[in-house]
Amino acid sequence: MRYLHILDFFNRPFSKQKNIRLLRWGVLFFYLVNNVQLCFMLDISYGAGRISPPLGQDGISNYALNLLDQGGVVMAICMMILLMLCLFGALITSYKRTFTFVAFFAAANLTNSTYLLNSGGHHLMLLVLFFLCFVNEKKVEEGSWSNAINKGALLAIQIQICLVYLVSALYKILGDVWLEGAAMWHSLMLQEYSLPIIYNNIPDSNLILMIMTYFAIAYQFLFPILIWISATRKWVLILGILMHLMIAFVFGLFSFGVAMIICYFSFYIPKLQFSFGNRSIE
Amino acid sequence: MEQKKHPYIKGLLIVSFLFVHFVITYFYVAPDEFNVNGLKQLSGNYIKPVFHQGWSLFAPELPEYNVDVAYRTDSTAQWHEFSACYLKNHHKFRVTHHGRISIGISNVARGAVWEISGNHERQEDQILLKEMVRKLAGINDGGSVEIRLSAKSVKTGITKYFEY
Repeated sequence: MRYLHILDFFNRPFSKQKNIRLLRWGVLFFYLVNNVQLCFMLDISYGAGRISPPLGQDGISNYALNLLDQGGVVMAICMMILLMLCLFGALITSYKRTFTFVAFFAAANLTNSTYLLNSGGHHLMLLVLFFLCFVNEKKVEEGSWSNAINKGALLAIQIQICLVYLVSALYKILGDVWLEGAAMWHSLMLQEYSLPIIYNNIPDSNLILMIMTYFAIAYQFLFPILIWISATRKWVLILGILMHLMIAFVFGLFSFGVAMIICYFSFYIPKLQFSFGNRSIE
Repeated sequence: MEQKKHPYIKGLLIVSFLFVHFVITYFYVAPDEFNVNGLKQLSGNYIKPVFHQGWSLFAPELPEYNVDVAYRTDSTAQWHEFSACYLKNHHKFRVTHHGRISIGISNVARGAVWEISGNHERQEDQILLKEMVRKLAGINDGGSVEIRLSAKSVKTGITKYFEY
């Protein structure tokens, strides 16, 4: 019975408003970039020349989240505008849950019908958006349901990120190329996940790349543990940001790299302090 | 009153929901070696519609080939490079849509190489790649298209060609 006291966590007032606010800004940035990208490929995403075949799912998913399964440029543009308005509405108004829910609906429809052109980042952002539907950081009355749900939703985002790392690590230890330490070299030799200056010049046995391979496996296994320890959290996230910047700009998976960095706001808020003469701004 | 009587009910319900949700998610995304076969199938019913995800990029094994795609609309005509221009733009402009197209083409092209080289009955990726070429290159639906795949091994540097 004494372990039930742990559950009191859900009664105490929600105090991660800044984390949620930055997460919301991050999601807005992600979909802003995504929508700009989609504007340049409207025809192949939603028009007559669309290249992702229909998903053809049944049930609720088909009627609510796959409305663009058969394409539709005008509808896609409406969804993009709706998405941006709702994400912004969730930031500046009190109707955070309603706006985020509508934003999730629009984002899911836009994402599901372009699945051949998506990365893991698109799936991750959708999941974050789904859990954000339950958060209203302005309703944090101690002991209330709203407060408890806020806490549960943020915890869900954090667990989801841990699961991403854990599952990625499990897949990696099954591959010989990862256990031999050659995976980073091999990845950088793949044209679309590298740059010509890299794949034309790197030697096939490179100690740094081997260390980076083992680092990636170790990081992914240890993240779900070390992120919960306050002494290691900051350093885990700094290393993670470096790794995901590399994924975004060297491997060319911009949406995935950025999505992961945005998710880090659920764990930690960097304290930035600027001084102007006698005044300091935090 | 209710709060005093059952102060932990909210926490208990939320923790129970999160536990069930993430256990099901784990069974959906975890590799077969760390999974229970029946549960993987079952979890799909819950996860696929709203929570679909997959975290096995570059693992367990990495793609063995760099695949270039070329096409022609007549068996006597010259081959036109198809994937190279998207790849070049992807290298030049990192944050733009070119990367998504280039990676999309490569994924399907690798699938097509796997289907042809392994003599698999499956032809989905070959058909899909043909459709992609048709649409991206602006070829009429009725017009014939031939595809040439050049698969260059990452390890040995040897290139194999496949046409269909």
